[in-house]
Amino acid sequence: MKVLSTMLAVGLLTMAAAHGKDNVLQATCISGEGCTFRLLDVTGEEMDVVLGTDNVYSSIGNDDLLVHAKVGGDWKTYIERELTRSELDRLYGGDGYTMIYLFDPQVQPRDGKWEGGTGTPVASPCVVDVGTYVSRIQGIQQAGAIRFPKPFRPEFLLDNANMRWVTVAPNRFRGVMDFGGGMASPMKLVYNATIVNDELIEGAFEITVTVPAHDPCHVTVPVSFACMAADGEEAGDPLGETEEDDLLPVRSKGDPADDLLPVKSKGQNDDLLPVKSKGNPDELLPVKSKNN
Amino acid sequence: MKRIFNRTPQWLAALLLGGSMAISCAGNANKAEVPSSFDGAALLAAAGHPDQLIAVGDIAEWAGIPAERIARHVEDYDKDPALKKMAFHWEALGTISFTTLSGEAVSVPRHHSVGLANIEAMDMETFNQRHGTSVGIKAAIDALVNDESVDADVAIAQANYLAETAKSLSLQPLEGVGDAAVWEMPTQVLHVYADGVAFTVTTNFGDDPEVNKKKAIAFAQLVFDNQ
Repeated sequence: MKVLSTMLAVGLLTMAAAHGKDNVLQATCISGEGCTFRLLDVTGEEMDVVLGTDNVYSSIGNDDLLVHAKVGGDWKTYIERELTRSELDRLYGGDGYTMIYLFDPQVQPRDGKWEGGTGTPVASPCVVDVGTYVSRIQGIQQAGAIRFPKPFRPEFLLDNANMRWVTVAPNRFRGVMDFGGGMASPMKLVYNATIVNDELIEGAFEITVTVPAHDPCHVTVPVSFACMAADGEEAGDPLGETEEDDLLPVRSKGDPADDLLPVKSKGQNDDLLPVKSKGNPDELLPVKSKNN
Repeated sequence: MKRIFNRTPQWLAALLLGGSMAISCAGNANKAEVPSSFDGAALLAAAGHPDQLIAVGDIAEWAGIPAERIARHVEDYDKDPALKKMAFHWEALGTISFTTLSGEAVSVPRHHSVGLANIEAMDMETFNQRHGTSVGIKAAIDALVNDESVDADVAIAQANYLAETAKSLSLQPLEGVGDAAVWEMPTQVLHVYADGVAFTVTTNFGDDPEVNKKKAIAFAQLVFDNQ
């Protein structure tokens, strides 16, 4: 067994040297508390695509760190190219002992009764009818008990195989659904979400449709989720919440029209939205009754 | 990255200097004797609640810093009490300066800290093997490999980091600190063993390892005396 472990360890280290450094290593630092580290599941290049930046995150080298530093109540982001994890942790007053966590432990919404709703859409003149999708987003007027995955993951807000989520700051997330088209995709859905505090999540859906020979259509629909009554302190296994099935505890209302981006066959007119529902008719609002 | 360490107000410097002098005059800076009153089992029992081990007032007196300027931070991200960490921190000399991705120049104050971690029952042989040799790092890599719950990419990154750390590891046994103690560099942490319990003292009083070592030994004495 010991031999096997050693072989595996050597194998892991070899793999690390070969190709294990592509994903961005993120540090969340608070002066006095040091830094926590998280290996993101995206590369710098993918972050540039999702965030619409040009060679900003792509420039993050294998030994660099993407740092979110807390300044007052805000987060400031920079790239650390000189210090090691331990040195950075000590710079921020930490003990120099560092571990990579699977999550950012700094941000966690409270479990409890939450209400979600949308604001007034803002749309540019558009030759394409995006009203169907806007109306579906506007259909978010729900309330219910939510138990957030611990640790919190942005996928909880909208879980879709085509959605790529990037952590912009420890409390800010940006998801992009471009259907593989990257920046040139004719249709993109962007979901910006911010955990304002542990009882308020605000965000906006941005739909962009590019039409040849026309100005692109932009539609923005603000959304917010507010905790109306937080649960009391509950015992239990918080890590058990990270099960895949719990990422989107959506209560089905049985109405197919609740699908945000319904799948249409290629034989029909709309091929722009190759989204396949994962079995949750309403993928938008992570509401689940505890009684279910 | 451009980093500038600025000077802070003179009153703060004087306060910190006074605190440092008070600490250095308090006793032998290189010893931390285990008093007969020390109960390793009691320390172990409190491992799940490290924030209750030492009061802010005790830290204030120990460090010569007003209690209202001291904050407590507990890293409680793991079910294993041995992996909980507790630290006290306060504003210190200098700032951390950096330029954000958007080009904004930002400065935040630096902090000093002292903390306690890895409180765990063990015998002295295990302590010496784990902390007095590189066996501890090898064991950590093995644990990563064998832990199927750890994401593969994370395991690779962490194992790689540990392997790099092992290359520069320096372990210095210290006489007269607990029943056994090891000063670990370059991390600058003090591993202490006494009465069947091991714990780690973490200190961050700037970049000078000798200063941090003396503070760590003094803090170990505080832990012994508080039991």
